Amino acid sequence: MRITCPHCGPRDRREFTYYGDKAYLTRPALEDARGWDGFLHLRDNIAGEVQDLWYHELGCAAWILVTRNTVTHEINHTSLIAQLHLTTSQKGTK
Amino acid sequence: MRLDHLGAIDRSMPVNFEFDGVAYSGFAGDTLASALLANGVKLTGRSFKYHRPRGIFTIGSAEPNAMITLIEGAQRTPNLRASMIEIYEGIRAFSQNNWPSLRHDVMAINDVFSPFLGAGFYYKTFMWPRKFWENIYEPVIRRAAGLGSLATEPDQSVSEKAFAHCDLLVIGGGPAGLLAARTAARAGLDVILADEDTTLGGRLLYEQEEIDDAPASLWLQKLLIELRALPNVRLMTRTTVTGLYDGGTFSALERVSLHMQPAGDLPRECFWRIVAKHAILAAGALERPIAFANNDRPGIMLANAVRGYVNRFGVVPGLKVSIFANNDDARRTARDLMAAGVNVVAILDSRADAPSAENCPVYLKVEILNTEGRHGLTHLRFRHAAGEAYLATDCLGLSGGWNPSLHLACHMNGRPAWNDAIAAFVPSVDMVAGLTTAGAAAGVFSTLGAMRSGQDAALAALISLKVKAPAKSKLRLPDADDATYRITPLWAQKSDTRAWVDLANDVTTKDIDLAVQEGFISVEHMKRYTTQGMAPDQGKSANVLALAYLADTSGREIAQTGTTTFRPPFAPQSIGAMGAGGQKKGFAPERFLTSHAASVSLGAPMIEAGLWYRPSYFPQKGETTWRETCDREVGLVRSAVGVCDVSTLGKIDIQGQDAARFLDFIYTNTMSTLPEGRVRYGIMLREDGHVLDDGTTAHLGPNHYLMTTTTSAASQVMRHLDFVHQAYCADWDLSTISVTENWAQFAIAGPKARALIESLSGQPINLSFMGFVNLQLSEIVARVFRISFSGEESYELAVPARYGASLWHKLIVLAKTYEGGPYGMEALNVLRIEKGLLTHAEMHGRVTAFDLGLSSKMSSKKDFIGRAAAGRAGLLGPGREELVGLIAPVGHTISAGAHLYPTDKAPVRENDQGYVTSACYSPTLGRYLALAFLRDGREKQGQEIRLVDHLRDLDVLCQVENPVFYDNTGERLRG
Amino acid sequence: MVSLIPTPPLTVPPIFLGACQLATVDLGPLASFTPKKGQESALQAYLATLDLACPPPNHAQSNSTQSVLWAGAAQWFFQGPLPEKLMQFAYVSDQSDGWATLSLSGATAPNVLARLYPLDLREKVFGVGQLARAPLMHMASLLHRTKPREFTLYVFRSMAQTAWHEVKTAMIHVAARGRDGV
Repeated sequence: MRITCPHCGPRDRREFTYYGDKAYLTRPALEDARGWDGFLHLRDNIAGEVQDLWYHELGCAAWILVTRNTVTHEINHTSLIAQLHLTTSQKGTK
Repeated sequence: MRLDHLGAIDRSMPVNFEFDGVAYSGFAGDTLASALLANGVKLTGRSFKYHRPRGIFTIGSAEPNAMITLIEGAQRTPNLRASMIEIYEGIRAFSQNNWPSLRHDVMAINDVFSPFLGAGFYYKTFMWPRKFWENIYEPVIRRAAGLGSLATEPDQSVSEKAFAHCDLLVIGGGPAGLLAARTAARAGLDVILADEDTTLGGRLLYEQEEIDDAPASLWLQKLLIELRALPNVRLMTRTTVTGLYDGGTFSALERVSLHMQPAGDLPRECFWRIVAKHAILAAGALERPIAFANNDRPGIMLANAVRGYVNRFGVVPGLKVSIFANNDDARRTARDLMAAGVNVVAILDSRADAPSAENCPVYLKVEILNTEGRHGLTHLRFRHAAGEAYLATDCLGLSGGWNPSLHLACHMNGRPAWNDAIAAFVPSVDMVAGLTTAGAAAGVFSTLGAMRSGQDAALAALISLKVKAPAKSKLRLPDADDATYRITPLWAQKSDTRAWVDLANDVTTKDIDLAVQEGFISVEHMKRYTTQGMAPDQGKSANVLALAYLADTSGREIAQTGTTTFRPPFAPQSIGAMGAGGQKKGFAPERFLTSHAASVSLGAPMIEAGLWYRPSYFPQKGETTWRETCDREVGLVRSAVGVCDVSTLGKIDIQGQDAARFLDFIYTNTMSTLPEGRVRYGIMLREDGHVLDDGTTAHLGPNHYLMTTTTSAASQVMRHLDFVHQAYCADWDLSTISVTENWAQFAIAGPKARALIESLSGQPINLSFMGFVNLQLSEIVARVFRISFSGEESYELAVPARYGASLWHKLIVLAKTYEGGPYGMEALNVLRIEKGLLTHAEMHGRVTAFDLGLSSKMSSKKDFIGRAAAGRAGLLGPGREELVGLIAPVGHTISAGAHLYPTDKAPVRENDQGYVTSACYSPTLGRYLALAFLRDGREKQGQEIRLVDHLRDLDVLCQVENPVFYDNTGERLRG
Repeated sequence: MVSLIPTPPLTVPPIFLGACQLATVDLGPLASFTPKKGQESALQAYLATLDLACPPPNHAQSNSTQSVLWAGAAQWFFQGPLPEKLMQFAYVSDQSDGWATLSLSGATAPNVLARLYPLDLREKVFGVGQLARAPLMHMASLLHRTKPREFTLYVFRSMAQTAWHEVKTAMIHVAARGRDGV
């Protein structure tokens, strides 16, 4: 399996550490107990496109959002989670 | 028998070898199979289940019968295929699966009991009496099962692993692969051409073919010269591409030096991981047999193998050779053999409509009725168009047709398509993205057809890679054989006697009949019920035959019946190669302290703490046990001064205007109120509310902090900080970087610690507990933190790592002058247990701040990672196992891992109240102490609890106490 | 007053094996830096006055005495005498003692590296001046191609011995294959 790190280019999967679903990107409000239960413990088990979080631990230490297909094994898209809040025009080459 | 005029062996280099203890000789270039055949050795093994005598069946890597063990000193390698072993001087080979000898195998009794040993017999037998299974049936079956046996010594051979990248990977170096590689190379692509054989050429090495009206070898040599000279071409011979994986990645096993005596620094094998933008599968095709009565005798081989041994090795596998086939291609065997002067006694063709004019007897509409010759074929009985006959023959070349080698294309669960014209499976279109199949592997069988197919595949790859094709003049194909492939499918001939389908696992047509009879008609069920296709050869010469027979027997079309899948590896690959470099120290990097050499020279045993090596204790002359030393070192720290290398703790440099805010988010307590020059202890949680790690953070300067973590969680914490930063704080003014390696850090602990540092620096130091200051040591700026892991007045002194070794030396020398000295991990642990301080023995991933008695550190004024989940009912309050200290009575030992029970109940699981995480003998208190988690432990202080360790036979009544056993008020700490 | 003696991460003589040479190398001061928020352009402008810049990922930018190496997410290394003014625009952290640096050079250097890094090292993909954050076996590392057949390898100081051993073993295996050392 190869993952394209937005910084480093296509790399062997062993350079990355898998964390979990993209759900981890959105922390629920403090009082939202149900939301926290979902955040921590509930996931859809999708045969198809999923988005999850990978850490380029043996590379550049960037956290990456990977869009991939669990049926076809295609990796459709990767992006830096640190840039998710930026608009397209704000995303520089750095 | 050896012919003296044919073959690519080197007759000037004889090679002496042994088989089953008997000495033989062959030539350089021989395989064990060709050399044995040359010496007239037909019997090479015993079959898996029935222990039937077996001989060599194939040429190449699909051999199902001749499984061999090689022995070299204490090195023993089982289950090698004789046809793949290149002999070298002194090689010692042994047959397998027989006792006491190959010729007289006692286990052949299984053949007599064969009616009881059919498919799935073990689902129906060995069930009664029940108690016989464990002590009788299972051990006997285990001893009888398997093929070769393993060595009992660790493998001494050295292999390596490597990575390669290319634009185009061509799998197979026959006509198709060669043309594909040539075309792509001429267009400038980076090409890797890999072939399993010792040289490139594929079929050209085994056939008497002409190209451009000259022996094929001339054309081949010319092409190889061109390819070798191109810098963008890498030719890899003796390299089997074993697996196809996602993203254009392939595994390959290169036999670097298996064809020589192990010697010098050459690795035995290399396991390659290859990444290719595009790949062409040109792996050729494999011949398949036909099932008929007793079709498994030594001397019955695939037709292409018979002529291959003649053409390539100059070896005739028999003196009276016959052919049985359903296709025209097999005729080549007869013609090549006759041209070499070999006696071909008959061609038996199953077809009614087939060429009948050859230079030897030809029979049509043949049905083989039986064969004879237990240790080697002697006769055949068959029916033909004009009657019945009894033929004396010692070698039968068998051909039921050819199967394209599309295994790799199936590795990602692709299913091939049935092609009626060639009666074989071919790859379906777009089976694997980025992979094209060419030549015989695609069902294009003629040599010229294969060449054209390979070239076309390369041209298609160039288009998809958007690279210009070579000029037309560079695409001219030579003149080569373009025969039509004519075949009439025939899978099995009716027989009351067993007819073999899968030689490797001893599966016959009767087994498939039984599977169908019992309802296992799905090809996946038939496979597992009969074990057909599950041997090391993955059924290469058997699968198509088996499923075609299954289709016939169950009244379906072949296309309907479908195939099972192939999985990596294509051929057996040694684990030693896949794990090359990972044995012993190679398993993980070793991390050494700057004080390592000094500690070793002081006689300290070094222990592994994660990847680090740390000194366990520093034995002095006269000390005979580690405990003696440890007790002394503890005393040293409590009464004088001890020095300890604590560089392994994680250190993270955190800067920015949002640094304080970030620390407040990470830690449960508030760091933003920490003044400059101060240090604060903190704990951090996982988002599920459990403790991730603890440590101290120092406020070094404006917007500048230094966080420490435990040694074991350093990389986990770094990962966590990076995630929180990038996920939730991406637009903050914040910088974090590990500086663990940059600083060597030493604990200086004890009543004389301050005096020692003042001696070292030549200036007074006035630092209160949990303070930080920079300290000038000549031209170096060192950092001093007044923090303690021992409970004594203690400082941690950090210098840039290049000065670590030198500083350690100075500290030891100075410590001696204060009647102190170095202390190691054992004493470090005792000291901190005496103070109730935590390590990951306590913070083991299932405890909360509440459990640790640190609820006061959970700020209610800010959000922090884990806050929401930590407040969940069940993670705090009554019923939780809370951190306590335990004191054993004098003279009693207690242990970590022991469990805790009420004094008035039985020490069984139902009454379990908790467990011990850390324990030690405390020389300070003169008895054993422990830290433990005990249900509602804090309110049980002062009470007794029963500590039981069934593994170590300990049963001790302990006192539950505050975990801070020593200097509860912290006077010594803050003095 | 104490005087402390510096020790390099690894003290071993260079090795010459096959068509390849491995040696330790001291590249002098090294610091990591991250631009302060809002100061990115000011930082670039300042670096420009030194004939330097923050290069894009996988690249380095040098003048005659200093280099800036891209080193990871929002991170660069400054190699050479550190200009004081850098701290105005960026958060700086000394890394001079955190790394061990090795120099691998020779005709078969790429073949040796093929046994160590899972990277595409073909010159057209990883050219002179380019670098990569990638693992050397299981160790975090930075690999910098300084010349067509010359590379600098950065590993954590504490892992210097392991790195040396791994590279040396790869050199031995490549050299044993003979003149081409594939």
